[in-house]
Amino acid sequence: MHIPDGFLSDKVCAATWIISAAGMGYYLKKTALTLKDKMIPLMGVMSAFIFVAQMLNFPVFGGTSGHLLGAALAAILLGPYAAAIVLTCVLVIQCLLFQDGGITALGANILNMALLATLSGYAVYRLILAVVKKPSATLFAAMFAAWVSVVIASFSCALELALSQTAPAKIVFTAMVGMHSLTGLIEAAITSLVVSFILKVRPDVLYKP
Amino acid sequence: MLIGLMVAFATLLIFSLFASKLPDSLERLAESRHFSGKEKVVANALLADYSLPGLKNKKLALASAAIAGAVIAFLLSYWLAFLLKRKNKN
Repeated sequence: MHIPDGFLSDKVCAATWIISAAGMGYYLKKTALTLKDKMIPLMGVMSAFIFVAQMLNFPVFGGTSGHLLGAALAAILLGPYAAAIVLTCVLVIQCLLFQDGGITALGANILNMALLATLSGYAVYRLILAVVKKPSATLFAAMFAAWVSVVIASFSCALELALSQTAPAKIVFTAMVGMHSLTGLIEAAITSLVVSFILKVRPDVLYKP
Repeated sequence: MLIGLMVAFATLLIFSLFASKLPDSLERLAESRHFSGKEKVVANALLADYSLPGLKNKKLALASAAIAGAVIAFLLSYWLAFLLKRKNKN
């Protein structure tokens, strides 16, 4: 769901750039205060992992492909603030070096995939862990968080396209949110697989607020 | 842990060579609603569409782009995290 240049109206581009810049400014401050030494290399590793994972398109349904987003996984390992920074680094590199996602649309792409996806994924993950107080809930929480993060990002992407009057709202929402609720299932499966692997080998890596 | 990571990256890299070439849902929507033509190129990126200038073998170019991107992503995040940590200590 990387939006290229030309799909969004000037107003939507400007608004999303302002929101993303303000959001990232706040997140950078928050991260500086909460960052632990052991998280520094993990942020690098997660960026590299997410970059490669986002290149891996798999067929979803009806001649459409999708790829892993990695936002919920990053938030589970790094917390919501550092995760958003990692996702933003990936999006900036994709945009500037590989022309994947537009420059004028970078604000929107950061808002959808770096800010909203990590925040919603993390909120769902913490909420489930707070309600179900069993260690076995972690995997289910990761799974549901991953699905929600993808659907929320696609919803926001659809909203931006609809507000730009690129295509009728009903069609944009059906296509984007509908398809990503399927892509989200694969995101959920892979996220819970990675989390279950980390729980086995290095449970200390998981973010503790 | 380090070996595990290397294996994970190698696997991802190999898989990326077989990545689906199908359009994603946004490209698909743009095609079906005839707004693909709205796409503009504001600036030409160096490695646009994950290719390397001068490399004709597409698979080799894609794998090189994946490695280059992964290394740059690692360095950028690591450097940023390092700066944030240092700022906090001061």
